[in-house]
Amino acid sequence: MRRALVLAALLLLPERLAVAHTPGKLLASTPYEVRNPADSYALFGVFHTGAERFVVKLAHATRFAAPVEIFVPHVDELRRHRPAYAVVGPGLPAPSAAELAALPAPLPAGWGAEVELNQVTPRPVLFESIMRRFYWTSEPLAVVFPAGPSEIWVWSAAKTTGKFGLGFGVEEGGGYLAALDDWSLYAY
Amino acid sequence: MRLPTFVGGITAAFAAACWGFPVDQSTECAAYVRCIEAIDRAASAASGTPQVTDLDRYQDGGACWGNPELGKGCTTSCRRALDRLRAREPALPVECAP
Repeated sequence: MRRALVLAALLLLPERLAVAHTPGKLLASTPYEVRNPADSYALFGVFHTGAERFVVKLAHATRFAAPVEIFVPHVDELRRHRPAYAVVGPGLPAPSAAELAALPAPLPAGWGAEVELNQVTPRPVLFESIMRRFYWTSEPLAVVFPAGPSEIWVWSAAKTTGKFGLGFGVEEGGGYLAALDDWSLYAY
Repeated sequence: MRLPTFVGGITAAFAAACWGFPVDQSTECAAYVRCIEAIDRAASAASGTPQVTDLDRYQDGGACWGNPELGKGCTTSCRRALDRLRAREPALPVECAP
C-alpha cells in the first residue's frame, strides 16, 4: 500500500520539481561513473563481507563545493554499521596520519583526501521525507571537489556489513523514477 | 468554506508538503561562502592563476534554500566544513575566523 502511494505521488509530481536526489546502485565490483556531477545523487549499496571498497568517479569542470553524507537504515541490527568515505583527488588536503592509515587503498601520487570516518557520537539521525525513512547519518559535510577527476571511496573500517547510502550535491537532476527499478535497495 | 478557497488551500498544503517553502541563507553558510571566496582570492594572488570555486548552491538564493530540509542539511555541512578548516589550516584568511 505504501509503495503504491509513493508511486502515485511520484507519478503525479512533475519530475523537474520533485525534491529528490538522482538514485543509483553502487557495486563493489564496478566504479560508479557520475554523468552530471552538478546534480545531486543518492547512491545505495550493500556491504556483504565488510571488506569491499565502493568507488564513485566524478569530473567537475571547476572547483565545486557540495555537501556529502553517508547514511544507513535506522534499524537495530545496523546500530554499529558506520561506513566511512573519502573524497580523493588532486588538490584536496593532505590527510592526517590517522586518516591516511584508515584509507582502504593507497592514495595516488599527488592526490589528497577529505576523509569522513563517520564517528560522530551520539549518532545523528536523518529523516528523509521523500521515502519517509529514518537513517543514521554521518551528517553532511561541505567538500570542495577539485576541477577535473576525483573519486569518492566508501568502505567499512570495522568490517561491518549491511546497507548504506551515499548522498552528495543539492541541485535536483531528476531521474528518481529509476528507484522503482530496484525498490528493495532503497526502501528497507 | 467556498469550494475555490478549499481547493486552493488543499493545493497549497500539498505543494508545501511536497516541496516546502524557501528559507533564508543561514549564517553558517554565509560564513562558509565568505571563507572559501577568501581562500580562492589568496590562492589566485599567490599563484597568479585565477582560482574560483562554484559555491552557487550555498549562496543566498541558491538551491540549498529551496526548502527547510535542504537548508538544514546545507547549514550542517557548512558548520562542519568550517570547523574542519579552522582545525586543520593554521593560516586561514581573516574572513574564515569564527
